[in-house]
Amino acid sequence: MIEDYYQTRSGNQVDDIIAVDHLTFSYVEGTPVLHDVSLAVPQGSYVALLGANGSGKSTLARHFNGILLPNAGVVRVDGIDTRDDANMMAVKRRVGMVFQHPDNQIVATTVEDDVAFGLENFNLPPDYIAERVTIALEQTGLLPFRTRPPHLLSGGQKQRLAIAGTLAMDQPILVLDEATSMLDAIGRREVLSLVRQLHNAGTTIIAVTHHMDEVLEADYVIVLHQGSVVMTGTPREVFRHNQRLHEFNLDVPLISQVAGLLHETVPSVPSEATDIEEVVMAVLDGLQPGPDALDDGRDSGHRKAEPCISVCDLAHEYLGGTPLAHMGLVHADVTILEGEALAIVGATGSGKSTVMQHLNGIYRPQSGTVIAVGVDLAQPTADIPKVRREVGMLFQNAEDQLFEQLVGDDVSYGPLQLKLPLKEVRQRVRYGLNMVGLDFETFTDRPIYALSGGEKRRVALAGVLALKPRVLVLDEPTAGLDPASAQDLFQRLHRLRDEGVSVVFVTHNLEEVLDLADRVVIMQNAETQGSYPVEELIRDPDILTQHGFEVPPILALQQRLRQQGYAVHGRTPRAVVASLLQSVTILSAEEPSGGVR
Amino acid sequence: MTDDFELLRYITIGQYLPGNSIIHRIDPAVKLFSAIILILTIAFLSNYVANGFALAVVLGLVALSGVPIGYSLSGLRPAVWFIMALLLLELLFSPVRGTVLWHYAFLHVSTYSLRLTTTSLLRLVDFILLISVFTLTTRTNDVTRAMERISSPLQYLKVPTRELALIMTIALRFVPTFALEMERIMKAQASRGGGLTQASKWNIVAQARARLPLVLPLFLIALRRAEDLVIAMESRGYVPNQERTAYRQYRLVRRDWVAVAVAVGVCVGLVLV
Repeated sequence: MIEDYYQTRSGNQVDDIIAVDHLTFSYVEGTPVLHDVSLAVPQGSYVALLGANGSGKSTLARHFNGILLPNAGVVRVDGIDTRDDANMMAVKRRVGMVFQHPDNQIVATTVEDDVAFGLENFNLPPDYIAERVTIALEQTGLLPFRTRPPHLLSGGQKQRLAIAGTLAMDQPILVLDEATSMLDAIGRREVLSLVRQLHNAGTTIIAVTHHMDEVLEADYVIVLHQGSVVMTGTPREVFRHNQRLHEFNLDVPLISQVAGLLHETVPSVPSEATDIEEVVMAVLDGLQPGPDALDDGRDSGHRKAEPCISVCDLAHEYLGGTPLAHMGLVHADVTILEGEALAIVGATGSGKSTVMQHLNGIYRPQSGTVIAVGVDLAQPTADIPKVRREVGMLFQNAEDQLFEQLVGDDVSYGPLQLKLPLKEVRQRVRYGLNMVGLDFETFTDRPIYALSGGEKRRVALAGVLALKPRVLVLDEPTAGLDPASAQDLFQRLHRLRDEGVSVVFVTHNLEEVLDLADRVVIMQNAETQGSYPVEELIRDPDILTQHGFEVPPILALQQRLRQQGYAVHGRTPRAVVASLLQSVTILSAEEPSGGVR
Repeated sequence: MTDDFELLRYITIGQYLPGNSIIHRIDPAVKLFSAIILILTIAFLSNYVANGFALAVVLGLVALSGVPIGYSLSGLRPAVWFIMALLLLELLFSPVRGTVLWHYAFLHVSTYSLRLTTTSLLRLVDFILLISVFTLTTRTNDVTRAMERISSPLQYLKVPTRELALIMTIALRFVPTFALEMERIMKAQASRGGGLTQASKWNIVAQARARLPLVLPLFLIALRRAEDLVIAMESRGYVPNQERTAYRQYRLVRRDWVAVAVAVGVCVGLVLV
């Protein structure tokens, strides 16, 4: 039985373990999602499949194991045509799939049973299954969690469990369909290092993603746009085309953005650089550090602002009084000032969501105090409706909470609950939609199902803004969005902050913190670890390291440059380059020194 | 206030309390079989003595298992008024037999209706405790495997027992997930002002409408998850009704045979009393 199973593993020795030839596919006739796609994945390679939401990349991934079959063209896996019914199991046998949502791919109620699921389907003997399960759990570091129910695993552990399932089956191809997009930084690191390990052991990896830093792991990149392959090459070759990627609603890593901008003034800096050291070396060659022109008086954050929410010595126990009780929050002190943007950062389970849910009275303090917009939430008689009205809150995956058919109806839910006059409700809906950049006239009567994921999230935000909150709290506002939608959302938040709304957002993405926040509260082990002005983090990124965070590349680059005597300080690639160019003399090599163009 | 949003607090089914009691260690199928015969026996007990004896046995099992009794009864809490109403109806409207203890107009409480009500209440408590002891000391997948093993003779009658067991497993697997999802939706709608203006409890249309923002999103999420799950299962080689092996192998030890013998003995004893 086992011999048969192994014979099916490596029957055919072909160079391209996956070969796609003129593939066309549509879910609904007449609207092809994939159009004449051809590509080849060499055995043992690491390929990144890059594309914005709606580019057809997940649809393509589902052709690799025969879940979807081409309307026209051929997909061959290890030489087997996926349309061949007799070989269906042989294809599944070769290709492991890990999907985006960790929860939706776990079948069994314990870790080990889930790992065994695939092997059971291939009708293998129990002793052999037990052996493979143990090996797979060992390699993925899940052995200590063997009997744990999956809902008690972290996101990263769940995805490792999914990978363990494919490892147990000893599958030569692993397809990751946005497998890291719902994970926090630690979870992503766990999964990526495991994938790297598998790749080194000879597994062919195909990673579907829109995370640029993950693309850097790959040997080869395929860019998909509107169902067609538009670019291919090594990550370096692809990232050189900054502008074109932008047209495809994609981004380039921030380091490459810095390199690209520098290249405009200092041509000796390679515009396709993806590595910090490479940029530093090029700067050393091309630019002479000048007198420190940094004006430290830029700290414009000296508006004397009043606190609008203060959390003091807060603790929270979940499921208190039951055998499952556990401390969700040990100690938190947070002050939110009028009109500021505050980020709360921390890994999953660090207590940041628990703090957040105290801010508008979803949770009431069990110990400690929360005073939100002048209301003491510890008092049983606290005016909760006022707090809910003035502190708007957008939960994770907010588009899941929409329930009406039409956009306008959903946005009006909040104002209608307030029993406002209809004219005012209409006004509020207009305001909400306007603030998220959706035109009232065009969108109010549009059915929600016809919107894209990014638009749905904006509608959900409009629903919160229609209450005209003074404080807006957001939990992981960009999770699951592609880079273009995420950037758009952050632009809206900038505008809200400019209009005087305090914006509090919970995130694990430090690049988002740099984009918007004035201050950041760091959380670890269910405790707040103090708050820092973001400007201070830029000057001293070691604070982040001390709290167990990885320093974002854009800060690491600045730190390296400062060590070399350059005065550089900025949140965005543009600001970094501008501050750098202000303080240096450009060494004219063979290039004519044209100064700033 | 906080309790309003902690749904996991009310879901004792599908939760497992780790432990190492004798009850934890008995083979799940034996446990399930014993629980079933005990429940069936208790259902037919009609006198005070037998019911008292049954309650003692059940309480003994609870004590042996180390499950907190309050926690296992907390599953009753949402239904407590409904149960009270039912018991009251039984007390007042059962046929009049034996001595009449109290009557007013057409309402009668007789020794018969009192006995009926008391035994109903005791039975209910017995059932809830037995089921809790079973589910709280048995991992959910062991529960479904136990069901599968007990019902496996039905395979010969072309009943797809393995498929049914898998459906059960998946259902149980998603109970906590959906509870957490529901919690998030409730919080989100509350944050949008939902539940702030309260319609009268008896205005059923308004009450139902007020639930729509909670139920509809959950329904959509469930559909999407189901779709994802089907694709994931297919990707892992699952084909309905195809022959599959089982990773878990069970072997009954002496402890298990003793447990069966004790359970059968108790049942016979109860019937004889």
